[in-house]
Amino acid sequence: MNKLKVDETIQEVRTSLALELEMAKDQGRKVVGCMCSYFPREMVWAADAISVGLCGTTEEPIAAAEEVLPADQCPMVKATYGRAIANTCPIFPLADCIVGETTCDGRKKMYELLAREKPMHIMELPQKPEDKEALIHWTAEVRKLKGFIEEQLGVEITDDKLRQTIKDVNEERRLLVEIHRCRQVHPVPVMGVDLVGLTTKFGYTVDHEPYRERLRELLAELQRRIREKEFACSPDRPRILWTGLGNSLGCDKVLKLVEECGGVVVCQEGCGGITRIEDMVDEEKDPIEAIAERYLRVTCSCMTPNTTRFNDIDRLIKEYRIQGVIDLTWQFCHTFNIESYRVGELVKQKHGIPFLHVVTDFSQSDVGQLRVRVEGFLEQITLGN
Amino acid sequence: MFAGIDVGSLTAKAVLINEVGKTFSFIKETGDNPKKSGEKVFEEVLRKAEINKADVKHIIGTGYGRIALSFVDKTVTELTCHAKGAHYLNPAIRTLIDIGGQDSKVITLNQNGGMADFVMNDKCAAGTGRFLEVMAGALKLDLKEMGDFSLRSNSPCVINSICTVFAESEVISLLASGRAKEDIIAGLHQGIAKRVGNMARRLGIKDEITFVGGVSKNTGLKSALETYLEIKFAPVGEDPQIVGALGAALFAREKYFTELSRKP
Repeated sequence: MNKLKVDETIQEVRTSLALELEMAKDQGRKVVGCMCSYFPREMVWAADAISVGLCGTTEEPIAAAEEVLPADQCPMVKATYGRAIANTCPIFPLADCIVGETTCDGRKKMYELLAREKPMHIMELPQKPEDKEALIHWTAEVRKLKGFIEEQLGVEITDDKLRQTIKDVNEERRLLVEIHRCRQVHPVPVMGVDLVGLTTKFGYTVDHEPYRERLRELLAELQRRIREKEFACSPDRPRILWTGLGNSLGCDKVLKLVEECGGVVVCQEGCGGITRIEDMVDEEKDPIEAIAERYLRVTCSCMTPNTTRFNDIDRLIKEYRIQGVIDLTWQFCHTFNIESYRVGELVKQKHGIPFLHVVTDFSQSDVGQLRVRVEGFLEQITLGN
Repeated sequence: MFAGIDVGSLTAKAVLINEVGKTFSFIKETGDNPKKSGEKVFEEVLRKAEINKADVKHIIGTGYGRIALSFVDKTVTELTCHAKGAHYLNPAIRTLIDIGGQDSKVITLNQNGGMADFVMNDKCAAGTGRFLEVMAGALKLDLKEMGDFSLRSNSPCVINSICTVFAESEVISLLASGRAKEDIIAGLHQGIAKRVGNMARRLGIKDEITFVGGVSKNTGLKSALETYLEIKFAPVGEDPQIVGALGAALFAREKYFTELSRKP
């Protein structure tokens, strides 16, 4: 693995996954579609089934979705629904059932329509995670999920199987964390865009062992580059922490823009970022309870208060020697949009470094205007004094 | 000589500055070809200063058309250039409101004239030069007349829409209902002042504050902003439309001397 780049588009990556899924299904395996970081995928793998992300990240399915959904909805909600109804997604038809969570209002109501397309289960996510009742409720929801999957797929998920899966998925998390931490060095061994591409692509997998093998190879290559001082860019590039959304192959236009304009994204917090992988599931506890605890700790802005996200950003700024923070919100995502004010306060007032809040969608129409903001933000770092 | 070329969505500006700070400037409409208008405005300012292109040692491009300019040495955003230009003209300035053809921005400056923070309007024309141009069209007025016109109003209309398209229909309805043009324009200015003023408050206003960009020549809007924000704009002592181009010229001069000092 010498070339740390993904040349395929997200559509191509999905098409090759669809081929693998079809082969796996021919051998009797089942596929569960999932939507969000709150989904405990251990439950699917423990059933010997495959979990695939069906969350929308591209523009094409949105037009079809807008025939049903109002246009002033978040692009992720529209694209997710569009993938299901527009016949453009090669993966969606292969899912045997889908699981969603009550994260935000747009998703929750869209899922009612999505449920017409496939058997669907909704997990009710509590939104005050610090209250002790939240975990009790969420644990019950995780148990219900187990029942749904067992019934849908006609399998039994044993505690032993669940324990083994927890260990396997934790192992993947450990590898991913080590991969991300390779970017603490200066300059980094891999560009942000390339790492997002690689981890998105690798994550589209039907089997765990080949996935772990790819992660090990990637880690070894990054470690070799660091040893041999083979850096991805010049040391002059401002080191940027990414937070919020827009961290995935397909919806990475702003991420690309930041690196085109001379910055380098060295760490991602939020959806698709390090804070979604560095938290392990406890391997000693009762597996259902351990899973419930772990997934309730995910720091989406739908939670109130979302204290851990602020602690994470505070810590990551130091760990990754961050010079500026970009917070990306999808249009009409009220919770990330409002929370951004407090993220900005933390970054500017406590750390005294530049902060940029970008609100956008999946289209390319605003790239010119965004370029001014991104360049201006980078100039704050390079020409600010 | 050192040059700054600011190609905005409605006008192109060029500024030349020499080692001791003598400046020349030229402004013309951008039209449909930002590349050509950038070249043209540069030629014109050279003519004004009676020098040749070869006498210009470094050129910085800025503004939305900056990427179309092939003859510049480097580009810097209009955000950073405005901060630079305003600081040069008045070092006490810490907050800058810039309303141009297609966007409005608020910038805060540190004591060295570097940009400390900024906020820009969303991707729409509300509250920009283009907005005022559309409204002037609806009211059959010259854009330049609008400022003084609105100052004659005693009871400004309330314009609810901040979207250019909706505001235009609102203006037409108000005209149809017999409201005076003065009151309608004053209402439009108050609407923009509220929108841009809130953007400034969100960023946190620090004294001194000034108003630049083409739209700052609109006396009515300027006064509406001062009333809304309860402030008085500090003068920049130069045409407020060329501050961005001046900042670019200053960067060109700085860049030239840094590179010179690095040479063995």
